[in-house]
Amino acid sequence: MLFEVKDVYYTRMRGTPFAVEALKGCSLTIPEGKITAIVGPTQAGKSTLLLTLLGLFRPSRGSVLFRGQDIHQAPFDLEALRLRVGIVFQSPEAQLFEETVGKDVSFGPRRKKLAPAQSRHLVQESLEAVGLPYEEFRTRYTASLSGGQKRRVAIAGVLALEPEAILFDEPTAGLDPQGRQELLALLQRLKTEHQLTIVLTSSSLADVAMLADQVIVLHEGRVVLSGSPRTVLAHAEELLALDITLPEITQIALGLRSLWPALRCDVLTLDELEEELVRFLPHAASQETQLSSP
Amino acid sequence: MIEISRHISFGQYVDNGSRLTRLDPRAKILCFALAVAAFTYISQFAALALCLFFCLFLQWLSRLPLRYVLQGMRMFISFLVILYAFQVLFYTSSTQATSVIWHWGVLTISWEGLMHSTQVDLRVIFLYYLTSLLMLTTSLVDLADGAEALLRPLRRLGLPVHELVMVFVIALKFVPLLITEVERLSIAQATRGVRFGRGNPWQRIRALSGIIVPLFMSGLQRVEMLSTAMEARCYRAGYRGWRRSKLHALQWAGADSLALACCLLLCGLLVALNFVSPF
Ligand SMILES: Nc1ncnc2c1ncn2[C@@H]1O[C@H](COP(=O)(O)OP(=O)(O)OP(=O)(O)O)[C@@H](O)[C@H]1O
Ligand SMILES: [Mg+2]
Repeated sequence: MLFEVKDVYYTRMRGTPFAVEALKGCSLTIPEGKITAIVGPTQAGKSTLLLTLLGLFRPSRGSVLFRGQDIHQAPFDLEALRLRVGIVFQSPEAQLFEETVGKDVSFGPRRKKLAPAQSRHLVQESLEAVGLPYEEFRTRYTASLSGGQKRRVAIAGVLALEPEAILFDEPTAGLDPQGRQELLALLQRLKTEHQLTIVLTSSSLADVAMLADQVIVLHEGRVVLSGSPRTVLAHAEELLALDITLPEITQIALGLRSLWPALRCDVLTLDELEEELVRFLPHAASQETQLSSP
Repeated sequence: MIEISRHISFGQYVDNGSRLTRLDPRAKILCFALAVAAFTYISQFAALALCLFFCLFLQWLSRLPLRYVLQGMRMFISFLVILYAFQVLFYTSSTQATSVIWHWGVLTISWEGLMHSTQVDLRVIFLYYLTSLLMLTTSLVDLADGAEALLRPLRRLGLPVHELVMVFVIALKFVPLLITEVERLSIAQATRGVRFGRGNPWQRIRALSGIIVPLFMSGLQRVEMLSTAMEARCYRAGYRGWRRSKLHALQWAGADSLALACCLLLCGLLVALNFVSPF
């Protein structure tokens, strides 16, 4: 297990009139080398949870373990953890702080005191991994980039740390359909090619159902469901009640349930839905053969 | 650094519907000005004790957690403590009859020095408290409206009252904005391996210095965003034949007159007490 979160409570702005209890007894585990999706409606505490994983917020109760070690116990080095586990924030504006793209992406390597040539190589590699040509973007001002480009630069800045795991906070929010597909493909590539552990949050299952190995559903600072995408999708009606967007196929299956209440809705692809339908329409299969035979 | 906004309440407004938040901003500003004048005038301990009671009364009226307000003053008070040490050590009396307690080179601790510095610093603390409370219980919009209404007569002298108030209010509003910005930058840098609040003083200062430049940059960007937003909503400070209307017109109620009367009474009491009290 990479991370284990045990019954964590955390209050934002504790001790002020603005206090909000963001995590209320949250327990979960994040396995190594897998893609874990944390899904929940807005204000569920997803962003807070990610920052708590990195020890940026100290839980008021409960503990966070990294490979079995409590991250707030004495011998544990939090800074080393943050260099090994990167985070990409919800809004890239929150993440970039240097003037130019090159300086921002090289911030991590410079902190690690790598040799200039090595750090330059890393920056180039990271920028190209997110699809930004190095020479063209190196000297661009971060303030002059578009939103989508800023997000890519933010990801490159984290890749340049050469982390073992990356936490992505709502990485697909605000992207166009193509940008979304590209980003999800990048996540998949990071997992398969670099053996990275990926954690991502989302308010929609549509993007993550195909990608994630494990889904954790968070609501009001607590885990309400968890398991493989299929196990979670089987509770489609509960998910809808929590305001979580479902994949289109699941939505169709759910709609068809008014005709066949026993229809399974934990289907991910069109083929699966078809198979499921065929179960309920015994003559549909024979019709299909009839249609295609002449 | 990462949760710095928890510890600084300057410029925050807590809308808890208490009697103080409901007062008319004009009344609050007038009372504030009166109290500041009186607090600055007095010097005797008896009068300072009355100030303390007054502040406690206001605290009760505001229904704010005492701890929160005090927490917001912590930084200021620690700064004041350092000043206090200097004040005491370098106190030179106007009358020569000082009862020296301790003496070393140019440094002297005398009874008069102790008394005088304590009085001055207590006053400063009370003034700071009043200012924080005014901001904690008044939204910036109200504060601006109130100040503008009170200063309106000065327009006859050709003073651009509205513009001045607007500039002042925006400046105030930037304090909490900059604090959130410091928080954002320190989180962003911490996730890429910067340590805050650790190591020797030199390392701490170096960690902080990495925030200053981006802080300025983003501050300037905010200014640009703000001016674009104001322009997009056709903000015009005011020109001939143009009167801005208000969504919330200020209304002076009985409670406001009562507050003002109480405040006047208190100021009278304070000044009188300051006269008759022997210490
Ligand atoms: N800086 C902050 N100060 C005070 N409260 C905050 C702050 N940030 C978040 N909160 C509160 O903490 C709770 C959890 O917020 P969080 O940002 O973790 O939710 P989220 O699941 O990430 O939501 P979203 O999908 O909108 O990003 C919310 O009730 C929110 O109002
Ligand atoms: Mg969030």
